[in-house]
Amino acid sequence: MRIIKTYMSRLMALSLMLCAPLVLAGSDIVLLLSSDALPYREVEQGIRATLFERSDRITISSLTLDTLLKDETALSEDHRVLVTIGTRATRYALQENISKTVYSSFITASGLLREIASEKGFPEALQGAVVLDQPAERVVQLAKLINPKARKLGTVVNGSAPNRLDEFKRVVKGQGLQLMAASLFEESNPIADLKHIFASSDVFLVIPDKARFNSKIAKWVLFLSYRHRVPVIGYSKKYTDAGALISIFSTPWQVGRDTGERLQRYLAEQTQSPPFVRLQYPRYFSLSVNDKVAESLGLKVGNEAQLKERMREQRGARIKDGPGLVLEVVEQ
Amino acid sequence: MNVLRGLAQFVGFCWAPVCLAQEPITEIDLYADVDVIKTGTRLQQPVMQVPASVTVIDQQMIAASGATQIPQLLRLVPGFLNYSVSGNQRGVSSRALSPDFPGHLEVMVDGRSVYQPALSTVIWTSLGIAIEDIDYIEVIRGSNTSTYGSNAFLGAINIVTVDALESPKLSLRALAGSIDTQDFSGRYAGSIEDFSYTVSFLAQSNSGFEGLSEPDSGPWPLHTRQDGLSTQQFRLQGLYTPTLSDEIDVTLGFGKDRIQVPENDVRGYHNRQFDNHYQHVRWTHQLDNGDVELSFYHNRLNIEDDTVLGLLSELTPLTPATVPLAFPGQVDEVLRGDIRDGLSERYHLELQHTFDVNQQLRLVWGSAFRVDRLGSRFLLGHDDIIQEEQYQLFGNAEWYFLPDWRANFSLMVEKNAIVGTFASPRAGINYQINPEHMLRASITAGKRTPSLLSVYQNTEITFADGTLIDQIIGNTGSADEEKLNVLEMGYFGMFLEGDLTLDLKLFKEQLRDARYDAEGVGIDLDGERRVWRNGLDWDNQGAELQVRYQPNDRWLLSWQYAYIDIDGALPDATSPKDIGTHVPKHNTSLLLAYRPLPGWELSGVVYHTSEMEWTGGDEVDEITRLDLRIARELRFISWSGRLEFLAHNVEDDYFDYDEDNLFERRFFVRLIIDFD
Repeated sequence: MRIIKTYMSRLMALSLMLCAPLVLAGSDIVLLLSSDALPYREVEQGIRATLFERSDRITISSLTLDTLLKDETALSEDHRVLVTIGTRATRYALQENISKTVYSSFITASGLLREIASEKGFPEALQGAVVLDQPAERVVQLAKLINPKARKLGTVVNGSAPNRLDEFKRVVKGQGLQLMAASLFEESNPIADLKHIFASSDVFLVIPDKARFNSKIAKWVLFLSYRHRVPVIGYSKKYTDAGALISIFSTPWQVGRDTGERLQRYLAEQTQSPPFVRLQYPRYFSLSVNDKVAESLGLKVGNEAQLKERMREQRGARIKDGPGLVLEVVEQ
Repeated sequence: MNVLRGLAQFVGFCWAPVCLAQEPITEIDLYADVDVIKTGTRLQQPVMQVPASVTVIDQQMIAASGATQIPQLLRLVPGFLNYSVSGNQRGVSSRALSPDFPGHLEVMVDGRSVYQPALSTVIWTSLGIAIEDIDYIEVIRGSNTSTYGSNAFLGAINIVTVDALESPKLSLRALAGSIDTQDFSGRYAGSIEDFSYTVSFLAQSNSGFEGLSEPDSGPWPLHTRQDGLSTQQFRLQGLYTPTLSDEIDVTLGFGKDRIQVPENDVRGYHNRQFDNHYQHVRWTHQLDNGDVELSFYHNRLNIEDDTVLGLLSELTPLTPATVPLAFPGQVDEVLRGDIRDGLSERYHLELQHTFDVNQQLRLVWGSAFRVDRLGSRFLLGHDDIIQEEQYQLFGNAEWYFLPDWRANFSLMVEKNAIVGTFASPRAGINYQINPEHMLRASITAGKRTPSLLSVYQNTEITFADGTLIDQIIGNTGSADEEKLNVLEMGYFGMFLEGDLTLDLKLFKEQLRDARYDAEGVGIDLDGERRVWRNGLDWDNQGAELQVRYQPNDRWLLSWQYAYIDIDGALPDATSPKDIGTHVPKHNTSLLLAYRPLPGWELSGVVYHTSEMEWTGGDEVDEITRLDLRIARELRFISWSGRLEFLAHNVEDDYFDYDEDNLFERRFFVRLIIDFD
C-alpha cells in the first residue's frame, strides 16, 4: 500500500506539473529549477507531491532558470515563497534579489555558505534551506553500526569543505573515537597518503568533495579498501555500485519531500522573518549496500531496511550546532 | 621517481591551472558518476548507457562457470563461439566464419591489443595471464571499428586484470585433472616505496585430446594423438601515482608456449613454439574536466614450427623412381612446411584526450600510430620482413540533447599503405524511458583493412634448393577494405530493484568484400592454389538476449541466447557454398549458481549450439554440454582460499570443431590459496 501511495503521489505530482501553466499568477510557491535535468525535476515532484498530500489550497508553479533568463517577466512578483532548487537557482535569486522570500533546496552547505559569503550583506530574503549533506552524526552512527569495534575512522579531504571536516572531527571526538584525516593536494601521492590512512583505520568515510577530486581518489579508495579489508562508506548509490560497502545519501525525491514538509510548516507559521536562517539537513535518507563487497570483506551488515531500522532505534539525539553567526544547523 | 613526479606536476600545472579547492561543492558533485572503468566508447559510461551491446563477465561469473581456460569464458557472451582447432589451439568467433585462425575480433588485455598480425588471430595460450588474474571481461558485441579500428570489425574483447593494489598479498593456485592437466599460477603483490607492483607466473601443461586420430584414407599408419600444451609465462605489473592527477601503469611480460598441432596423416602432429614478450606503459593525467592518456605497447612473438611433411613420394602419387622424371635434377626427399624464424610484432603509440565541453556534451578524441611487422619464409615465400605502418585518428561524442535522450557519434579514420585512407563512423541514440529502462539504436559503417597475411601470403612447398613443388596459397597483389554496415536496436531494462536485468538486441548486418581464399590456378604439379581476394558477401540478421537475475547473494542466474540467420555463399568455381550453415542458428548458455550453506557453492552451465559446419573443421550435430562445479571456501587466520571440483561435459561426448576432436567427460580439482 505504501508503494502504491508513493507512486500515486508521484503520478499526481506529474499530472499537476503537466497541467500547470508555465507560471501561475499569484501562486503561493514558485519553484525555480537550476535546470531541466532529471534530479531537479525529481525534487520538484517531491515538493509537489508532499504539498498536494497535505493541502490542496497551496498553489505551486515552476520554471527553470534558463526560462527566467530569457524572459524576466516569467516570474510573477505576487508569490509568497520562491523555492530555489540547486546552486545556480539559489545564486541567481540571491544575487539578483528577485524575491523577498527565498527558500533554498537541493544545495550543499558549503555551496550555500559560499553564496551567502559572496553577498555584500546577509541576504535577508533567505528564509531557510534544506541542504544535501548528510549530518556527520548520522554517518558516524552508520560507521559504528557496520563495525561496532571501530575505534578509528579514516578520511581524506581536499579543502573544498573545511567546515565539514571540522564537523566530523567534533562528532567523532564526541563519541570517543578518533578521526584519521589527511589533506590531499595536487602534489600529493594519493596512494601513499591513502595507504597510511587505511593502515590505521577501521572504517573509511568518503566526505564528498568536488567531483573531480572524488573521481581522482575513488579508484584508489576502493582498491585499498579491498587490500586493507577496511569498509568504505560512500555518499551516493553510484559510489556503492563502484565498490563501496555502503553509501548514505538523500535522493532528490527525498530532498523534495523534506522541503515540501518544511514549506508547508513555514507557510502555516509565517508571521515574520525568523531571526536566523535554518540550514537543515535532509530528514529522509537512503542506504545502499554492496553485497558483493560485504562478502569479500567477510562482513554481515544486513540489508538497507534492517540498517535503517537499527539507526532509527538508536537515534533521538537532536543536534544543535551553530557553525556560523547567522546559521543554525538543525536535524529533526 | 622524483623526475616522474616533477614531470607530472609540470604537465599538471599546464593542463590544470585552476586549483581544485577554489570552487564550492555543488549538487552536481554529489550526483556525479563514480565509474572507475571505461567502456567500449572510450568514455566512462554505465553499461546501460553505452550505445552498443555490452556483456560484462565479472569475477562471480568467472568462478561460477568452472572454466579452466580464458576462451571458455566467452561462451557466456551471446553469439560467441569458442572451439578447439586442436587440443590447445583455440578459436573464438562471433557471427562469422570459424576458420582455424579467426581474426575479426579485437582482443585486448588491459587495453593492449594481443592480435598477432603474422597469423591474423590471437594466440590464446600466450596471453600471459591466468584465469584468476582477471577482474572482468568486457565484450562489445558488434562492430566497434569506430572506436578501436580495423581489428574490432565484428566485436571487441577487453580482458581487465586485477589491479596491483587490489590483489591479495600472495595468491597461489593449482589445477589438475583429465588429459594430464597440471596448471600452476601465482601472484605476489608488493610495493617499493610508492611503487606498487604484482609479479605473476603461469605454468600449464596438458596432453590435448585423448584417443587416436583416424586417417581419412590411404596407406598411412595410425599414429598416436599428440596435441598437448606446455607453457610458462611471467608478468610484472607496476603502478605509480606521482601526484593526485597522474597515474603511470607499467606491464612487462614474457613467456614460452609449446603446442602440438595436427599437420597431415603422414606425420601426424608437430611442435609449434611461441616465444613472446611484451611491454605496455600508460600514463593518465586527470584534468579538471577530463583526462589525457598516453600509452605505448610493443608485442613480439617468435614462431618456431618444425613441420616435417614427409617424403614427396609419400605425399603424392609419385614414387621415388618417378620423382626425377617429374622434377628433373631432383630426387625424392623429405619436405618441410615449417614457419622457422616466424615473426609477429606490433608497436602502438596512442594519445587520447577526454573532456567535458559542458554538462550536455562529452568528447574523446585521439590519435595512434601503429607498426605491424611480419616475417616467415614459409608464409611469405621470402626472408624479408613485411612492415605496415598505420595511422589512426578517432573521436567519440556523447551529447545529452534532451533530458532523457543522448546521442553518440564515433568516427575512426585509418590510413595505411594497403588500402589508403578509410573511415568507420557510427551514430547511436539512447532514450532513457526512466532510470530503469533504456532504448537504444545505432547505425555503423565499419571498415577493416585486410590482414597482413591475406595481402602478402605466398606459401609454397619446395625442394631444399628452392625448386617449386606446390603452390599452396598466394595473393592477387591488390586488396580492398572489408565493409560492414550494421543497424542495431536494443533495450536494457532493470526490474525488481535491479535484481533482474535484461538486455535485448536486434540487428541486421551487411558484410561486403570480405577477404577469403578462393580457388585459383597454380603453375605447379597439381595446377591449383588458393588465392586471397576480396569478394565474400553475406547478410546477417538476428537477435541476442542476456538476462541476469541475482535476487540475493545465494542465487545467480545468467542466461545468454543468440539467434542468427546468415544469407551468403562462398564463391566457388563449380557451385557456391552456402555459408549460412557455418554459424549456428541458435546458441545459448545458462549459468546457475547457488549457495546452499555458508562457504559452499554449487554451479553449473549448460551450453547449447545448434547444428553447423565449422569453416575449417567438420559438420557437426547440435551440441549440448553441461559443466558442473562444487566449491568450498576455506578461511583460516592467515589465509583464505577455495577448493573446487569441476566436471566438464558431464553428458555425452561431442565433436569439437573437427571429428578428430572428441570431447569426452573431464574432471578437475582446483585449489586457490590467498595470503593477506
